Amino acid sequence: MTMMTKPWARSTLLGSFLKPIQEWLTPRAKERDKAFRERGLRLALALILSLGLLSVILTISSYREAWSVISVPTIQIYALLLCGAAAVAVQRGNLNIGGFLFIGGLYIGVFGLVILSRGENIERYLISIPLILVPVIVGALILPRSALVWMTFGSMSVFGVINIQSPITDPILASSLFTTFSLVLVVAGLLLYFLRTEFDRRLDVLADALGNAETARQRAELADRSKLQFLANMSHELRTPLNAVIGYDEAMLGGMVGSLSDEQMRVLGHIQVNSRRLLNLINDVLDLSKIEAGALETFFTPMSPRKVIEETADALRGLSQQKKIDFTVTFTPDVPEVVLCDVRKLQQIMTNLVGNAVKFTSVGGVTVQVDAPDTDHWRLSVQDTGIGIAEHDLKTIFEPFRQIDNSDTRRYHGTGLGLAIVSRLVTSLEGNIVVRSVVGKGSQFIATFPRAPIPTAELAPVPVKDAEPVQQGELT
Amino acid sequence: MNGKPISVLLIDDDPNVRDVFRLAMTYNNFPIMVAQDAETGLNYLQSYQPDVVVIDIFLPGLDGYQTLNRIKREHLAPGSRFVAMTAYYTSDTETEALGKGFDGYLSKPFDPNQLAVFLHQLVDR
Repeated sequence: MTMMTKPWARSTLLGSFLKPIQEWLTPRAKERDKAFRERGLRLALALILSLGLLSVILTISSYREAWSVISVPTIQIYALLLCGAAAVAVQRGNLNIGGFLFIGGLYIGVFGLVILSRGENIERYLISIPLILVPVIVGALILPRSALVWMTFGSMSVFGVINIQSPITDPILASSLFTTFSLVLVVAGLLLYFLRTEFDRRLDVLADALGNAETARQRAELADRSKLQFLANMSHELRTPLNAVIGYDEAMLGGMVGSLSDEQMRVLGHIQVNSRRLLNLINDVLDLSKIEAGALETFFTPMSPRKVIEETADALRGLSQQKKIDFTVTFTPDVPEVVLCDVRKLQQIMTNLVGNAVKFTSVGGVTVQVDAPDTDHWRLSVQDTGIGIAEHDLKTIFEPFRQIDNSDTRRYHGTGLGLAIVSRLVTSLEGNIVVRSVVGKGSQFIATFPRAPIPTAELAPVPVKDAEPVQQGELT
Repeated sequence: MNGKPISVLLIDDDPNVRDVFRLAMTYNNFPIMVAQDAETGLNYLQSYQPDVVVIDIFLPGLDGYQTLNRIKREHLAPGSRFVAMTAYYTSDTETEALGKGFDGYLSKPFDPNQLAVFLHQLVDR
């Protein structure tokens, strides 16, 4: 409830007084034009009812003359009763009846007082004339637009009736006063009518624009969903035949379909390397698409960085052994035992960073170091003694498709997507990553993570999915 | 790979996966039965009790989880271990598989040369 956040709502005394008022002033109608009229009507009713009640009390206590069917206090009571009826109608949601009852009450109050006060003296008569404008102006705010024209004529007629017994005896002055004031009424009525028309038109335009924006938003959401579904299908359809190629090739390499010549084995080896590379490429493209589409949820769970990183390092050791370079993993004693992190994302970050480091290193080795820069963070650093990165390339290194140049792509094989994925994954873990490098000496990537991130997604130890499985559930 | 043979029932709708799996099993002299969908696999279990049942998660008809639930509910394979065949990097499919009653998972593409080691580790655990 928005009203609960208002400061006065906390002060009980003031709150208990203001809350019903605010409640009364809040329109119930959903339609814009009606809500606008309802607000005006409720505001005017609240004002008139409270002022009218005060006025009736004052009048009754000070009225010394004889009461009759038409006298100052009775007129006020009639008007007040009509306004009360209008309030009941508004409360029941009947705006039109409420509006007309209210305007009727205003007519009775205003004209009754004007008629009763006429003949006493000219000043009071002249002062009361502008009161005739009041119902028209109020009507413009609270009645349907078409009622305005009739109200203008109604006010003119009542004014005409009043003028039959005007205290102004000079006929020329009286008729010119009548003409002038009738003109004022007509102009005011027309002006208000056109203002209302324009206002209603603007409201329609606004409503249309809001409606269009909502439609566009829904369309964009639908497009996003279709895109994700397409990605899910693509991911499945691209990998299935490729998995078959890889599977058969490895079965042949393993001698499962009979013994093969060295030359045949060499060719099968090339098929293996290339099909694995194609699989990685497809995985990278799909991963990045998933991340960009916001489809890769983050699940922060309590985990031991030491355990996860050691396990990942074990899985990666084969890479460095193939290239005959060193691979060391060190932990400083201040590395926290438990942090909140997403295990799979951390594994992927480390796999990509180490994979890259190994790829670009032919002499020396790759060092993974884990430490804690302060009590709130922990840090994963992957350092290599590879070819390094030129300074002007460091700025764009985390952008997709930015392997340094085409010759490098050809020499080192890769999509150039690995670091783009890493940087997005690090961001999704509420961390940051920096790179330092000297050409020819090597590079160092340092990712810093909070120990206890404040997750933007909900905290879920194990992702609980719906019991109903998604058939093409490849992608999440 | 030495040790006693491990029998497997594989339920997977992809004929190539079934074929590669069969090649690897035959090479190791392990008995294997394959089924292309859950219904067929469940029928086999009436008369065949393998050491390991490998089920693809994304099966047409009953999916892997539903199939596992039926096997467990109907006590079709009381002495078997269950392995989920999952596609590569499907967010948390592997963790999910372990949480939902599987004893292990194989992610595609699986290496046929590692299959015997994997099955032994699973059964001897």
